[in-house]
Formats: sequence, structure tokens, C-alpha cells
Amino acid sequence: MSLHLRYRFSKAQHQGSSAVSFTDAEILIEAGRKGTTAQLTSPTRREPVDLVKASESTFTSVMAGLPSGFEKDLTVETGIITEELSFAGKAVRRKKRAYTLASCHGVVIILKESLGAKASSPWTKRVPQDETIKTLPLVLGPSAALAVTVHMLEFSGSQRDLRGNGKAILDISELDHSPYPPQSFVGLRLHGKYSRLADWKKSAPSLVTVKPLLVRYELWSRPFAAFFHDGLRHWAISCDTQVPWPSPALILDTLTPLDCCPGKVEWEATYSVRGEDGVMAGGCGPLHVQFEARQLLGSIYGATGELMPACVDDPIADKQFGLATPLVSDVLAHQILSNCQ
Amino acid sequence: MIAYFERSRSRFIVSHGNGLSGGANESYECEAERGRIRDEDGRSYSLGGAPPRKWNCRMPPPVLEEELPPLRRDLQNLCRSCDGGIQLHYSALVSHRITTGLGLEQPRRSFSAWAVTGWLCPPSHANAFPIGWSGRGEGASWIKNRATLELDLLNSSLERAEALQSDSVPAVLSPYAAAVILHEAIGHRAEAGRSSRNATGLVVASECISVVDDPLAQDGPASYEFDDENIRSLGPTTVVLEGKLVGQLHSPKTATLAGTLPTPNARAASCWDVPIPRMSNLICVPGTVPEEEMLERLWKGLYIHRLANGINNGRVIHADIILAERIQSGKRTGRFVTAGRIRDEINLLRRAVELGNNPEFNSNAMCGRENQLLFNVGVRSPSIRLSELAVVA
Repeated sequence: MSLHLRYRFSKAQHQGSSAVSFTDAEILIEAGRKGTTAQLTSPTRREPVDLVKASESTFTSVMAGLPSGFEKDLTVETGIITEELSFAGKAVRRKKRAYTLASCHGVVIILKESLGAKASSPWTKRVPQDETIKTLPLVLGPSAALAVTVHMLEFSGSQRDLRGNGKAILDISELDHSPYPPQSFVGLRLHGKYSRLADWKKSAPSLVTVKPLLVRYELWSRPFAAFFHDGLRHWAISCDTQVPWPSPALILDTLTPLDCCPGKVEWEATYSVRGEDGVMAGGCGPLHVQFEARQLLGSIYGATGELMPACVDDPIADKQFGLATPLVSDVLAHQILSNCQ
Repeated sequence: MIAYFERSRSRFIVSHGNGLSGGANESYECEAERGRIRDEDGRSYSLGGAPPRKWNCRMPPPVLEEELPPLRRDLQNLCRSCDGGIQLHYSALVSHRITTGLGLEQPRRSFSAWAVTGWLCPPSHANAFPIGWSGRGEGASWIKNRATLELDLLNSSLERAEALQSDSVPAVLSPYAAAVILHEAIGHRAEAGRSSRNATGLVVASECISVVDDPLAQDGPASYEFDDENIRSLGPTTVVLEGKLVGQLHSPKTATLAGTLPTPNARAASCWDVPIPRMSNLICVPGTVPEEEMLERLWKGLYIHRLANGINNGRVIHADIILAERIQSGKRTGRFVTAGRIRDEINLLRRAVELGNNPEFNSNAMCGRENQLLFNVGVRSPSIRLSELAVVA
């Protein structure tokens, strides 16, 4: 007796000035005595009209408020995922999820389990790179906090005993699924309900252990786990101390390491500036900064706000999603800046 | 309209051991039939399933030739042979592809590639050392024959290796190590589209270095007559001539932007990915000097056996030194060093003094760019002697 999972995904994506793109496919996963196989096949084709409309609607609402120069970086994706799990030929669970993802300049603007969610631009204007940003206190935006954490975990070992500045304690915990619905796989969260079925118990572990690979079809044509940073783990990063926003503040929105080793390395950052009035301005051009991941996380003295979706876009290992709060550090920008035009 | 179709089959085996109980493994197989259609307006549709029959481009199911049970057994044996911890991920991909569209030929392209990745932790070390081997075809013969030798070299040498100190030293790069540096310092700079600047004319290496890119190089990890945009290979593309960058590797899109002709270098990880300019097989013209003579002329310095995790960030070349050996009085000393990195300027090959007569293809042909990781990006290089190499602890 074998376990089958039918995983269908349809998505529409608007990206900057490029035309819309669609994806529509189905994966059939079978776990039986002979092993586990997955097959990418054709679903019943239909024009994803709803998805296109929903994606256009979110795209338009965010675009309306974006400062000029940011338009080409805006990406909006809407999708529907349907999972159907059957055991011994009998359907045991069916679940359908819709989602909307909007991101710009590396910032996840919205990631919500609904179609065509309304969202607005986080920035109202642009801010030039000049001397004034050097004196600002530093805040790690959710995606930057995730990038620093992933780097630290990859090279400096465990997140245990990671203390922020003073009494603040960072909490880095692993999520059991990605916040980005196409990367998570909910069909098998059935252990409680079906754990009495002996045959189910035999088949389920093989699917559970391999689930990220089986639904992430983009990994099928590449060497599996070729890098330590394989994008298959998802982290939630928060801090036990809530503090107000420093005002004004330099927010590092994204951080991309330009080296892959422990210790102090150079990073390329996108950034925003939060003014005294709370207005956000998007930064022009990349910043180059230098710091050691563990040391920077050690300078955190609190979080401001709730957990928000975060994404690290690694040029080799693909997108890795997680959750993080903006983290406020006691470092001033000039202490880590290696360039500022 | 242009359409890209693919039918592929991949196999994954995860195997691990810890010296005492080694060799447990799991395996998975994934089969994909899919296509991507780009219409005149630039809209792109990625679809699962076979192409419509009337398009006349259906492909036979790809077959993984090597049998699973012996492969699993050989991976288990490899894990059991290590005294320390080890984890190996075996991946194999066999794929048929067709690109069809206005005025283009529709040759069916087939390829197969394999990779073994993972880590090794010798008993005396707290650190894990990365393992990465890959190439054309399927990997059974490498796993059975060469992998044991590679692991023996690493296990026996790392056991007594000292930590490297930061320094600037004369060095000889083994063919495998030289391949990593050539790939980063020359190959990536030759790929169009990485920066808006046309880099041709730049002196990127010393005059003893000339390099071509050849998708049809004998025994190369890459092997194709047509690239993923149906551009046919008409022979090697000269990339570096006597140290000067004279040619770039193009896709039709980047060639149009640069006002030149495309080269057969548009490659995509799958038909759902956009083909971008990538190296195929980078071939460095060898020198005439035996490696032993190069070491004699080096007199004192480092012989770099193995590098990993090469990165070119546009300004600096980085690579992990997995294994190097001290050279004294022109001889190998058996004093191994590890746990260091090369961190040198992007033009470090300008310090190349001479090349060996011992060219070999790299044992690790994996390369990632723009979220597309390929198994089969080859480099054939001889040993290279450098007057100076910056290494950091």
C-alpha cells in the first residue's frame, strides 16, 4: 500500500517592467515499499485569469506609492496550491491555499495567505547616500536580520547563548515550514490523526524526511545540498525586549555577504532611512558594510515591532524565507560602513 | 514565440556515517516533463506536462543507466571507510531538451551529469571539510574508483595538517586548484551580463596564459553541440590570449545588447529558467614544464592540492584551502596545512610565472549564478606557478 500526494501549483508573477509570467504544474509524489518517487506532470490546463487579476491588483496598489526608480524592482506573485493526500487509493486530506507575495528592493512588502491582498509601498521618497546617514543608529530589517543569522549559523555554529547587548536575548528558532507557501508542505501534518494506521506510519517518514526536495521542483535539476546554506531551513528571529524605533534610523533592508567565511566579512546592503516623523525613505544604490555576524547580533538591544516575513536571496542557493522582527543595535552606521558615496 | 521543453529524470541518494556505524542511506527519484513558452509580448508560461503533439517535439523518457542497488552500496562503503563523520549527497540528472521557435532548428539535446556533495570530518578535527565532485554522465565509476583515493588523501593528510598562517607566499597550484582560480578569475569575467562594462582588452593574466571555452572539449563535464537557445558550437571561443581578455561568452540577448554575435553559451539549469551566459568547458593551454620542475623553481612556498567554495565578488577572489603542502628546497615536505583561505585580488593570475605540462579537468564542475546551479561547468587546467599568493588564516 502506498501513499500518494498530488501537489498542484499555479502562480502568476508581475516583475517590474517585464511582462507577466505564469507557472502551472502538478507534482505526484508516491511513497511505497520501493522507495519515493516524484513526477512533475500536467494539470488540467486553465487560464489563470483570477491569479493575473489578483496579482495586477496588488502590483498596482504598491506601484502607486513607490518612489521613482524602485518600479523595476517590484515583484508581485500570486498563487494557488492544492494538495491532495491519499492512502491506499483513498483521499485522506485535501487542502487549498492561496497566497500573495510582494517584494521590492529585497524587502518583503507583503506575504499573506490570500489572493490579491492590498499593500502599499513602504517608502514615500528616496534618500541619497550622503554623510548624514553615517551618524544614524543601525536597525536590521527582517531580511537583513535573517541574512546575518543564516551566515552566523553557517560559519559560527550554534545560536545558543546568543545574547544581545545588555539583557536582551535573541530568540532564534527553527520553523517547521517556510512562510512562503510554495516551499511549505502541509499535507503531512497528519501524524496525530492518522498515527494509528500502521502502514501509514511506515510510509510517512520517507515523505517527511524528503519533503523539501520533493515539492521544490527547482531543486530537481541541481546538485542536492551542494552548499551548506541550502535554503531548506527556515528561521524565526525575535528578541525578548521591545524597544521603540530610534529616530531617525538607518535600516539595512537586505544584506548579501561578499565572502563565505567566518569572521569579519564585507556585505552589500540595500537600505532605508526612517525619519523622525516615522516616514520611510528608500536608499539609492548599494551600501558596503563590514562586520562579523555574531558581533553585530551581539550589539542588538531590542526588537521593534512584530515578526514579519523575511527573505534571503542567495545567488547560488536560491530564496530562503523566514520570519524576523526589526532588530535595533547600539552600533552607529559609520562603525560598519566601508563606503558611502 | 519561442518554446523550451524538457524531459528529465533525477536521482538523489543521501548517505552518511560516523566511523562506527556507517552507511545508512535513502534515495529518491524525480521525473519532470515540462515546458516554458515565451510569446511575442514577452509573456512567459511555465507548464508541467508534455508539449502538444502537433508541435512534434515529444521526447522519449530519459533513463538513468546505472543501477541503484550497487550505487547505494558503494556510497555506503565509502561512508564506512571513513573513521570520522561523513555525509554524502549523490545527485544525478539525465535530461532531454528541445528549444523551438521561429526560424530555429529543433535539435534534441541530451545530457547527463552527476554530483557528490557533502562534508567530511576527520576524527582529529572539529571542523567539517566540504566535499564536491561532479562531472558528465553518472557517477558510479568515480564513486567506486576515484572517490576512495580522494577521501584517503584528505583523511591521511588532514589528520596531520597544521593550521595555515596569513601570509603572501610563492605557490604552485595543482591542476584542480588552478581550475578553481581560472574559473573565478577568468571564466566569470568572460561571461557577458555580469557587469555592464565590456571587459575585453583587459589584461587579466600573465602572458603565459591563454584560455578558450569549448562546449565540445573531449572528456569535458559539459558536452553539447547546441546551447539552450539553439546556438550551435562552431569550435572553441578564444577568451584569453596571452593574458588579455579578447572574447566574451554570450547568449543571444547579451550579444544583441553588445552588438556582437552570440557564442554557444546560453545555459539554463532547467527549461523553466532563463538561459544566461555561462562557461561550458574552459580550457587553459598547458605549458611544457613538469610539475616537479615547477616545485624546484619555486624552492620555498606552498603547493595547493585542493580548493573549494571559490567566489569572485567582482573585486576579490576567495577560495577555501582544503589541503596545501609546504615546499622546502624545491621538494614536497609532507607537512600539510589546512583551514586557510585564498583572498587575493581579481587579477592574481597576472602573477602566473609558468604552466605545467599536466592538464586535467576539474573534479568539481559545479557552478552557481543567478540562482541557477549547474553540475557541468568544466575547467581543464595544468599546474600554475604563481610568484605570490595571498592566503589568510
